[in-house]
Amino acid sequence: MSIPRPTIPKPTPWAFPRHDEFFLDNGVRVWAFDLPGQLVLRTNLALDLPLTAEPTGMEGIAALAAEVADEGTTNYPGETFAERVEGHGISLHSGAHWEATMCGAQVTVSQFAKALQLLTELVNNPEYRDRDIARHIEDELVEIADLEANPGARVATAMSRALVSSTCRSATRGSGTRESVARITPELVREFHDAYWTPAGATFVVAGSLPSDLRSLLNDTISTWQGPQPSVTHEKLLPNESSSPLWLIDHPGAPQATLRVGALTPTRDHPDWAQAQVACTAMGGTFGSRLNARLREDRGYTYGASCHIAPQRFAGIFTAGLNCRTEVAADALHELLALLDLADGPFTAPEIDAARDYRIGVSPLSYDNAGAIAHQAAVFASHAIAPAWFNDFQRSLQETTPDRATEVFATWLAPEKRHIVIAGDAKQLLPTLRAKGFDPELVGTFG
Amino acid sequence: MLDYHYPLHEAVLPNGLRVIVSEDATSPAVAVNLWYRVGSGDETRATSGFAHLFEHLMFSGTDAIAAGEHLSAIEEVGGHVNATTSADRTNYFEMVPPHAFEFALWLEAQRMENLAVTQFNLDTQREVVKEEKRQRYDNVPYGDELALLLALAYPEEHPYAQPTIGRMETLDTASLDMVQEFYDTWYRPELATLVVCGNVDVDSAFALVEKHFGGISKPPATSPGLHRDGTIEPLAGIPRLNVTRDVPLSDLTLCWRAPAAETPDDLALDIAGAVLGAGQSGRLYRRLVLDTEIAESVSVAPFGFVRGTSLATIGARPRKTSDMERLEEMILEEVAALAEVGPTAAELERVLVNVERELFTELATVDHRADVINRYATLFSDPDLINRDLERVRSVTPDDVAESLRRWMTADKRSVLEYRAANDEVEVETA
Repeated sequence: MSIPRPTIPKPTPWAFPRHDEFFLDNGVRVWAFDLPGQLVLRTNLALDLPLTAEPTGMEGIAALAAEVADEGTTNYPGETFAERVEGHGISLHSGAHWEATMCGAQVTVSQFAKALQLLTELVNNPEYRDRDIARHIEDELVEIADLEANPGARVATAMSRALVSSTCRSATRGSGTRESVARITPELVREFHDAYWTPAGATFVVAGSLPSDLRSLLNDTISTWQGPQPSVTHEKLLPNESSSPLWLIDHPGAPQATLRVGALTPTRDHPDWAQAQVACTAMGGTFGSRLNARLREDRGYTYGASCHIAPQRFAGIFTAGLNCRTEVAADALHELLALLDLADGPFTAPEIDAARDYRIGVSPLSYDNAGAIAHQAAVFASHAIAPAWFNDFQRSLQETTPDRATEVFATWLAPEKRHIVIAGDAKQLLPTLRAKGFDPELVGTFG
Repeated sequence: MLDYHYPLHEAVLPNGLRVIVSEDATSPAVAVNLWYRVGSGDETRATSGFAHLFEHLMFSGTDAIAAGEHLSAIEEVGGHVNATTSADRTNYFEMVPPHAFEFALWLEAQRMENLAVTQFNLDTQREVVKEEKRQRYDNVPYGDELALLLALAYPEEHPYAQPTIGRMETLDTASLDMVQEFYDTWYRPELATLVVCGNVDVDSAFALVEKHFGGISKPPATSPGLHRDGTIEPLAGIPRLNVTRDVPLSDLTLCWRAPAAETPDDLALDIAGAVLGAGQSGRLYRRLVLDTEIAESVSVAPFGFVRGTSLATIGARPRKTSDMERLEEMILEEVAALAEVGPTAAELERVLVNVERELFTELATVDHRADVINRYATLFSDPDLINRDLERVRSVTPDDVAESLRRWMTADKRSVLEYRAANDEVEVETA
């Protein structure tokens, strides 16, 4: 028995959930998203603390200040802090990102008041014992060694250096290098916290099934946090004008080549942002996209190929890539570049329709829980964007056309703007890459 | 403790397909979640990796659906779609806007009845799976640890002796005949469970499932799908494997044969694992990472296998390889101490409140909730276990925890994997 294919209507734009905005006495801006049925509340406190605040040569100090903050507070020293937190079933997180240090909690509704109290402790009174900081420094150095053994991680850090001018903080790994991390001392971490962890410019995001007394709970906790008025700057990314177009990182004996193509692009405020997003989705954002259809489904070169533009505050970072066995790497790279050059022709109407429908239709599913909303809202805050931007973006997605999407993709990602980084067994890769006309430069340093 | 109850409505179609519907009008989506009760545990050593390769081939299409179209068609309606294979099951899932619910059912029903795999599909997906193995296991630090652990803990022909990803040489032997036989044997309505969870009303969900799946009838299987029992005695003689790899830190793993998932002793051992290893208050973390600083990290992981004998592991990375022996002693001391008197009331309460938070975080989305319901339905014949999770954790006593450790995780029943860093000199010079 054969049942005919059901027909489906087109997806309609979805709106980011509404939120309440208000300010606490200490200046913290609050964005509160009430999501009935979401029994685990998610909070995210985004400090206005970009990594550019780190002293030169001390890259990684912001990450350490964030990561050691939950190792004890002056009121709950040492392990007693974790006992309190975990004893209430609370999970706290704290980490440094390019534009913000973010601290937050994941907690059931019944323990929310306690979580706010402990989160306030974490940001306001971290104990920062010498031994905890020293252990985290040692852990970070191990982490760097771990990443150096990982081809994917090496390509990612090398790509930042290839794309971004060395005068920018963003050219260097967010959590620092072996050299910079080894220079950091406990005293410097404490000074960094005292100078930069402040309510000024911070946004507190909370999402989930909100308690009715939210404001008074915040007045008793986050509102009591005090700090200085530092001046910070958010960095515009300058391109690296001097890097050669193809870097090869040697991993002797690696069973795969890790291929990445990168470029700096405009970001969300550009009028063509939606066109670029839909074009990237059609090129490499889905299983059905050009990159996967050719490189995975036709050729069997790879487990998956993809591309996307990650929006930063002042620039977008385009990445395309795949991992493949060494012997097909040169062919795979050649085909990947041809696809990015639109050698198969401009994007067609069915391709753009499919990509646009995916982007519009998937939004409510991607943001169907408190964690996703709290995370995205905190990213918006750290990029100085109102959540309502999302709704404008959804509308502009509907205006994408094959011609414009093709033009924007070809302009933003023109060959001269792209940089290629490969990690793999150089002895095997070099001859095959050269035979295909590539001229790789061997590079080594990490970070 | 949060008061909760997920509604579950259940029916079995005449062809044997088990169907469970759980409505949630607060969700923007509907999850369609289909489990076939076949996994790498049903392979032999000679067919290792085939169940997972077959999962890839389930996207090859039918006479009405082109190869790969299942994936792209769901994406075009704004949905998520994927599949995974484990030792005990293969699951296929879509999460779609409510208006595309019937379309997702149609796609799943079509390939349950009419899958059409060509030699080209097989050859291509064999290469894709080999690349997946290289990407996820062969080209990452510590990538072969799982295979070594399984080989150390199980005899060669045991259902769980091989990792699900398989081996290059066995993947090479897969043929179209094997594909057809596997499909006929395992991909049958009576061996599948379909869970629908989300923004759809119960009656119309059942009506649509009946419409698309009710007519599927398969000829009797030539080789009926039988699940091998994997019950074996605990380890003896402390098998120990010592390998050296190019990794930054050595890694020590102690492994025990453990009771099957969701048995009372398994639950008690899970709680023992949380008391020892969860968070920054776990006993092992406190002693090994914080107090003595002998280890960089510690992890406790149950494997959750269902065929008789599962595994429980405790792993730790010593800061210096020369501390490996001392580290092993300390882990054994902590396990023995917990086995002697059991956890404190505060420790048990800590475990419970954290399980509660983790559970509701996982169940916050309908796709994960559907998968949990299907796990309980398929592997344990009781979907309502989802509504009794916390109650079951709460019922475990300190004596249960201690006794389960004494039964299963004594020092003489362990195996040991010493995964040694080739170069132990990570330079650690701080200012």
